[in-house]
Amino acid sequence: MWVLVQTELDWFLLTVYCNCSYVLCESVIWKGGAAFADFNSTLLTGLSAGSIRITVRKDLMPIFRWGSALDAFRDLEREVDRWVHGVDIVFENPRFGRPFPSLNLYEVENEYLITAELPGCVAEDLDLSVANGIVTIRGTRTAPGDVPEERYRRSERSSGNWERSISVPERIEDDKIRAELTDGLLKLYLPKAPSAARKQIHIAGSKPSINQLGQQENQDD
Amino acid sequence: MTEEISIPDSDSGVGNNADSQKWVRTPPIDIFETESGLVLRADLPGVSSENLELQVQDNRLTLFGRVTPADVEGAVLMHQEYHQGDFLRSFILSDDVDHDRISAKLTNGVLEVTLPKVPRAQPRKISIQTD
Repeated sequence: MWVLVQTELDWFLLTVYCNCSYVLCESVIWKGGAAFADFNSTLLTGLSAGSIRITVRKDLMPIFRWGSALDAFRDLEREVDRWVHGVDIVFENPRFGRPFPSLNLYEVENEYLITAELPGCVAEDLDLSVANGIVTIRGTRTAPGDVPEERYRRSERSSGNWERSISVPERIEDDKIRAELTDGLLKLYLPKAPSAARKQIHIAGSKPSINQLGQQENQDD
Repeated sequence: MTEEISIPDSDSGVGNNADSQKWVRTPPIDIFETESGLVLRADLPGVSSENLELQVQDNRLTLFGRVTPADVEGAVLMHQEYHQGDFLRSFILSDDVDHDRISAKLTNGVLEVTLPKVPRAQPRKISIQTD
């Protein structure tokens, strides 16, 4: 997939691909490849002022491989690996990038526990609802409005409206759901409904339908 | 002002402590300039003020937030989007930052560090004596 990005400095063509949760920049091709060397933190800061946000991640595997024994490319490969390792582009478009907030789902004996990282969130910012086994968390993360954009040296924290829906694997008791929010960490306890135990269902009336089918065939004859 | 803060690449994203298998994460930050200096905001969800260490040594500001595990004992992880782990990040402070007046506050998992500028020395007039 190709994305054309306009920065304060120039236009850049990015190849990006999405591996589940991360959108990574694969290569920058512009002006005969000279952009590789220019793709430093200064430019990234410039990019982040636009519609693309850049965060620095250091726990990603190197994804850029030229393969084979092309010695001439070895330095380039290393260089590209280095910055791909340190760069993670998260698009503001909700279809791309990492979902916000990140959720973990645990099963604890007779209940489920959902934890979500919501730094800076207070209970008033959140809206929790449940219907048909789907828990929806909705909220707003306000950007500090008093700071003009040009004053930012680095902007990695996301802001805006967000919504996540989680389908819980089993039936839950909607009335007994409880939630706590401390230090920007939401914990949502979802007790399993007692009826979640497996029930055998008896099938009735299978024989008459075969008879009916037989009668129909006879009529057709 | 020139670049006061740079992000060192020495901190590895993954914890090397093999026996605890804990992750050390790099928290996302915002840095912006104000009239009096710089303000740094970092997302540290799950870190309480008593579990946060913030120290300045030489010209390096290090923040380390210990996260209390959210899951109770016997919990089975069914779906994972983030790794639970402590937060670590360090920054190189320039000489423009007044190291003694750095202040910080932690609210709802967001750390705000205020890095004031060193007050500029007033120009001093040197009187010239004549023989």
